[in-house]
Amino acid sequence: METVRWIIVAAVVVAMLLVLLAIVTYNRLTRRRNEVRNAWSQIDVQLHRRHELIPNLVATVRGYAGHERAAVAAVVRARERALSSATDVPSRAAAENQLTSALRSLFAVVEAYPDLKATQNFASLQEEVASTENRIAFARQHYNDATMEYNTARDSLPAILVADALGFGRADHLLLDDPAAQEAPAIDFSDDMSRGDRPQLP
Amino acid sequence: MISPIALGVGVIGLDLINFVTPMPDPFGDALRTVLGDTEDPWFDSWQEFVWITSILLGSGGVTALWSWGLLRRFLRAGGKADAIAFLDARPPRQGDLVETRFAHAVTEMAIAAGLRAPDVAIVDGPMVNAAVFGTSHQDFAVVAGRPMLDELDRDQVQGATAHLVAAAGNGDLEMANITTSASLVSALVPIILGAPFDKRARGLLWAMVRPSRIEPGGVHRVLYDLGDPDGPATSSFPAVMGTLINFMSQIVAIAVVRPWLGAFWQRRTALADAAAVQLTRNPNGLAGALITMSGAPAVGFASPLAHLSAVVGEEVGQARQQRQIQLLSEKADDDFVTRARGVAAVVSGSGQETSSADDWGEIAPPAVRQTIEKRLKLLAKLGAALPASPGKPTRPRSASPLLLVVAYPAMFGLVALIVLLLLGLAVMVVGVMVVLVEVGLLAAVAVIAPVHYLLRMLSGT
Repeated sequence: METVRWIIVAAVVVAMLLVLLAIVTYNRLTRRRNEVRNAWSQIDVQLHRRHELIPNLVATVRGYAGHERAAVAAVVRARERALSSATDVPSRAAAENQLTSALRSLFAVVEAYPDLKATQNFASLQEEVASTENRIAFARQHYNDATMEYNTARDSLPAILVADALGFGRADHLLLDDPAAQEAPAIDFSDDMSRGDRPQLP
Repeated sequence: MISPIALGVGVIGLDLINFVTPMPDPFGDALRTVLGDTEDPWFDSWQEFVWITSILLGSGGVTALWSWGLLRRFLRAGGKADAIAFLDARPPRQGDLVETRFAHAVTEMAIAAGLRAPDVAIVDGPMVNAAVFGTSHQDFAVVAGRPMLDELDRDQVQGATAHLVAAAGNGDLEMANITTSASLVSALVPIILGAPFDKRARGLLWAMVRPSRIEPGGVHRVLYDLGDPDGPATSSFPAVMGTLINFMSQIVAIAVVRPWLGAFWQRRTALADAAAVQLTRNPNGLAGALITMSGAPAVGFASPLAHLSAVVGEEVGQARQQRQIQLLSEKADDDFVTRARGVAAVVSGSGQETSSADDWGEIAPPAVRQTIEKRLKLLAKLGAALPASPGKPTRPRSASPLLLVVAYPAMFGLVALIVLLLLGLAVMVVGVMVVLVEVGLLAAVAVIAPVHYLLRMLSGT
């Protein structure tokens, strides 16, 4: 009788511990998943910010470099496409990438207009656009960091045992879609790093 | 230190309760024994001895914990708004490219770190430096000296900003609140003891008890007053006691607190550096910023480590330094240097490495330069391309047998001597502490006894 009672007590304790573990795991995964979602929405916020900037930029460039219609029109068109694009990720990403390259070629064209570059308004607009591009990049970086942390937490023991049952799927990384940036950086694994010496200037 | 006060409060409290309901009278028992009443021994039993001792020590401990809590609450009230008011900082100007760039860098780094966008402020002073102020990673401001923004390029501003935001994201502000308030507890003692004699000390205490009523910038002003040698912390106080207390807290600060906290903050700085590189993916920005900052004259007024690691104690230092620089450029008076030492005391009490007042005007004092070199080494390991520095020529090593026979034993002996000296110092410190507690207890007894007997007489027991 005594043994049976002890076995029952032990079973109840173990069950309670398991439930506790499941709750802790669930909360941890939820926190990380929310961070991933928040990081995702942050990208959206920054993309929106870029859309808002463009009319101002276009007006300024038109004032000084009126005959660079092609570059300006490309930016305007790309913006309209980005605004009206479908909400699914691939088509939006395509539209935004087009906008990025249109903006780049516009700034390349503007290099030929020292008057325009010298104006205060344009300089601050350029800083705004550069900062927004940075923000988009950093938001993506944060999204990928958060995704990695979430996936690692999800795929580690003991979370992986319950993740599917609790409805925690894997999150996807945002991959680079700019071919120029996809080139692997040259990393020198020669031993001057491991010796702790200062790496040479490239 | 606090035990005598606690004793006094406890005894008088017991006496007051005695009016309502009879209470034991350990104080009277003790006093009677001292006065030679053998009928009633000091302690009836060892249990009573343990009881009374633990009450004495416990009440001291509780009071210390309570004042720690008070200081923590007080520091929490001294958040970003308080710091900005104290520093006389302003928001970045619209249309000023350099300042907009800085504000953008801060926002970008907050996005990269996944933090809420912090406030941004600029100080028009000679500081080639920046710092974070605030109470937590969710509520802080990044403040930069305008000259820093002029001297650094965009990548470097981004690197310096990343370090600050990363430090805040790592929870350094919360850490700073804990360590600074803990090290300020000892500074509170002379204030409490001096309160009956000095109006400023009373004002300080009053401000600390009710931080919500304080005017903007007031918390930082109080923090400065705590470290001011001419301030209420020491001036009002009987000279000998004040000197003794200062001596004691200096010994404790130098022997125990400073090395430990210094090492701690060095680790946190290294962590923030590494996190900054992770955020920007660009070690060259921060490395370049550090090199520029270490070469700037204004850095000599406080270590960039202190500024960049963003600690409440150093905020005070920084604010003062800024004013000091302005004042020094106008007129360098002795009074001013003394005040500056007070700042150094507060800052060193919180464990930050700072240049002492004597180092002023030097370009990046050696200690600062060493710290920066250490940080640059870490950044180089993380991939920063540093300009080759001339460096010291390494002396060829020759291991002569003489070295083994003479130098090593001599070194061993020296180390042993130092250890012995430190032990002696520790014994001395304990001795002085015991004496101080005794003196304090006697003083307390002298003050309490008349009140005690008056109250007991009034209550008729």
